[in-house]
Amino acid sequence: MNSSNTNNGQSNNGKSSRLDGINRDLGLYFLELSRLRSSAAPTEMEEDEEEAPKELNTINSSGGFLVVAPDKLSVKYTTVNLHGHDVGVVQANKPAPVKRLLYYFEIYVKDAGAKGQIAIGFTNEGFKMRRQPGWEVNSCGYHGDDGLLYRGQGKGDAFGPTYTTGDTVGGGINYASQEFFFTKNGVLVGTVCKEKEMKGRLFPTIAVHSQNEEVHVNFGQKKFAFDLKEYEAQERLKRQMTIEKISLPPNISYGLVRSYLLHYGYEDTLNSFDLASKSTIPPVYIAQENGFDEQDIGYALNQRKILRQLIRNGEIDAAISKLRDWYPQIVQVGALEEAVKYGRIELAKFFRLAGFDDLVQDCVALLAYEHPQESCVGYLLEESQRDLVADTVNAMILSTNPNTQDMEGCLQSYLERLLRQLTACCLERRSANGEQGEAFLLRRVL
Amino acid sequence: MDVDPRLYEQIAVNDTDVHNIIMSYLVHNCFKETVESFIACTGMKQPSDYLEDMEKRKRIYQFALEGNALKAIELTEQLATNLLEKNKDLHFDLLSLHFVELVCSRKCTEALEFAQMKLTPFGKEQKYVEKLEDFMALLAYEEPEKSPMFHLLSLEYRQHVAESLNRAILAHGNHPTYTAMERLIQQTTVVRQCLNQEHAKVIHQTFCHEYLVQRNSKLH
Repeated sequence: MNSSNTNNGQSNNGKSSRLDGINRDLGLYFLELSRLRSSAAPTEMEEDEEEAPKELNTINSSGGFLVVAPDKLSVKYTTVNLHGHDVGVVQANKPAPVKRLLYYFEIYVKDAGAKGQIAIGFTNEGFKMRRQPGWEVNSCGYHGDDGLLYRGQGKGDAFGPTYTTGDTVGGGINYASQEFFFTKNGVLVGTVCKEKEMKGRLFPTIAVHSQNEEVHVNFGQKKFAFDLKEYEAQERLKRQMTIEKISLPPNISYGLVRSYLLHYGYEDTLNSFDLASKSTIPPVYIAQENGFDEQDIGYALNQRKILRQLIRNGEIDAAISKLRDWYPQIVQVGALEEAVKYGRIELAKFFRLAGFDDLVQDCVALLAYEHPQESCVGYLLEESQRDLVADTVNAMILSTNPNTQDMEGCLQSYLERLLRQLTACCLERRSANGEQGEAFLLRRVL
Repeated sequence: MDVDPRLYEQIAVNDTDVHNIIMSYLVHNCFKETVESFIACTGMKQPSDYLEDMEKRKRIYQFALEGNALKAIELTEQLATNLLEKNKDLHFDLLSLHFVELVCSRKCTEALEFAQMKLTPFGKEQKYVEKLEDFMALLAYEEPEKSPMFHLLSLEYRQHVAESLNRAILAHGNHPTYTAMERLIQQTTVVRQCLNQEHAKVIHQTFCHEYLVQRNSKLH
């Protein structure tokens, strides 16, 4: 064990090892953050491309009753139907994708045949392929002959107009409102609630049932008759209106901004802010009096500001030297060997990515050098990484505050925690809905 | 169903986004020097040109807040012509501020004349009639601050009008009328409510929720 280390251990009793532990944890935390930021973070990543339906499924269709064209985009009922169990039903080749606000497709009735018993709707995987969608449980269908909507029972509900030769009818799912919606010739016919039982994967489904009926299907390869984009925009607006009606506690934004500035040591900005706030509405004073500094984030504000400025300007020598003066317990000069050893053993446990070990070792080693920029790990001090280093140092100093209650307070300001919580809650909500609906995208709000 | 803590920890927040959120608040509320300082300290790009109008917006806001509605109106016309014509509700509210000022200074005759000239024309539309009645009723009291309509004399009311005016000016210049910060807090609230309703369980208590709750209770 290095002699300087032993000294520290003796003079601070148990506190030194606690601080060592904290410093290492903080270092790890920021390294992980850096890794997350450099690779695509889960929230900002594009959603995995879900496969959307492109054509009809000829494998499980009720062949024998209907004929699917070679392009798999149209069907024809060829025989004469005799009863209710010889419906010509066909599903799309893939289920409707769920990670979006809406899904929609259309059919064009080329020929209503003898009786116009056409249907459009959604069915699940195990659907009985000889029955109209909507005549069995876990399915729904809008029927052309009677204009009724069937939802798993023999009897349908009044819904909209009938449709026949020459009509374009569309069916869709609105994941946000958990509804099915149908259109005729570009006009919305209506919506119905999507039963909770219909949560599994749903296949766009069409059906024909009397002689010579012929229907073409459009899964988006051609322009829709219905203005889907406009509908989507309207639905988004509805959601937005709900959000905008929420009333906010007074001065909450003010509090979040102030705590952010305090947390990251932006002392000059904070002073400017406080000065300007004095001349605004009185309630702002109340906020200052009560304070919310559970963890006293005004701690060492001036020092943190100075260090941040030095690091941002690349004046690492000055920064390290000040850090040594003010917080010797953070800078472990001469403990390089131990730091590297720690890196290999401890950090290997945490990081599964090969090749990342090197970065980790380098970071931990950084603080141990007398002249970091000349060291082989000097690349970390390049401009792009400086904010990361500044944030790490900031957190480490905050952790030396004897009033620090928990580590999380040192890591992120309230604002960032709010953002994380929001993202997590949105993802959680989507997960509760069976992974339906859009992910939260901060960009949209900003 | 607690939010998976691992998931929460793994969510990285982009620094630029956070800076932009802070900036949107500062710009909306006309903290010009603070904006400049923040830009210098973080090295972020300066936001688009509406910094110039910040000073003007700030003065307009201050005048409205003080109750000096006529000055606020004058400056607004200079900054954004036709804005008040297009926002009749706002125009009415601003004029009513001046009316209230006169009433509070016990200049009742002047108040009455002002109301007859400027406020009653709004009364042609039904929605203003009730408002008009409330304001006129203030004249009937020797001490309007003790009347049932005392809230019309309050700072909160002036604040509300000043805020609306600020938003209208921003909208006029095609700028966002609400800060990203407000939207985020609202959205978090809505989602939490949904989760609570759907699952009747308390979501992962983070500092932030407690912070929001604390702020709410301390200010009551």
